Amino acid sequence: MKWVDRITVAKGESPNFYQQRDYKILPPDCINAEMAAPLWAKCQSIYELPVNSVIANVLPVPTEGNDSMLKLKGYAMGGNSQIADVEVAIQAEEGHEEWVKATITYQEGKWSWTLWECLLDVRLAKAEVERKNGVCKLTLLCRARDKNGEEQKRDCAWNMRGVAFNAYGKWVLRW
Amino acid sequence: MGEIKPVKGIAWDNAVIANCCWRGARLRDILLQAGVTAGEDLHVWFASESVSTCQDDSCYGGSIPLERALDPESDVLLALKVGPHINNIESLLT
Repeated sequence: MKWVDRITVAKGESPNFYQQRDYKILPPDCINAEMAAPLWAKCQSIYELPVNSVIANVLPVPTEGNDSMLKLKGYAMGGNSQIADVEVAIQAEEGHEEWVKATITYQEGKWSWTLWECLLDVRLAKAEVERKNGVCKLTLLCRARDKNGEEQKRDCAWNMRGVAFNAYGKWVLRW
Repeated sequence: MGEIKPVKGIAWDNAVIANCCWRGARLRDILLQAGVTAGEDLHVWFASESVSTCQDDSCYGGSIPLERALDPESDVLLALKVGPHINNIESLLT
């Protein structure tokens, strides 16, 4: 966060380094500063972050006769509109995941973050548990959509500066 | 993203986010009052000249298209005050 002490209306973008050579999504095959040098001017500045969501916490829910109920909690941020939906799933083979709609617990106006929670029973996920060297692993996912219909994708292309990453939210359980 | 391949940047993680109220004046109102009108390829430059020790430039700055600054839907605010922080962080942890 910086203090603004001058506002200027002018033709073209600000020539400042942080406008010209930062906060831009470079192509995935651009891996160093030398390759980036001629590309900065061709890339658009990021004026908005893409829709995004995160699993912030996973808590066991004591339930009689069932020790596999989990409560997932997290947040989501829209692109240029407020969040409409958040869903969670146990990671499985693509196309075979069962997405469960999360409950939105907080949202205020157009620009606030969105808090959400969702119950998930992992008991039925035997096929999705990875076992290796005596350790079991299960991956939980979340994804969001905003009111303009912008959605997260499963994966997000790598870029040199690591900006605007918005692949599905992920939480790995290990036991 | 650093898990895919190392990035040239600070390794921010998921929790670097805050939810708070900003108070101030619409940048749109200030610009209109100053007599600014829309025009081709016009941008609004912001500079923080009092921040005199930047890593890569003499001061910190950036810009947005004038169109965006004048758009009432974009809610571009010249912030004078921040608060309250509605962080609800406790509700995520319990």
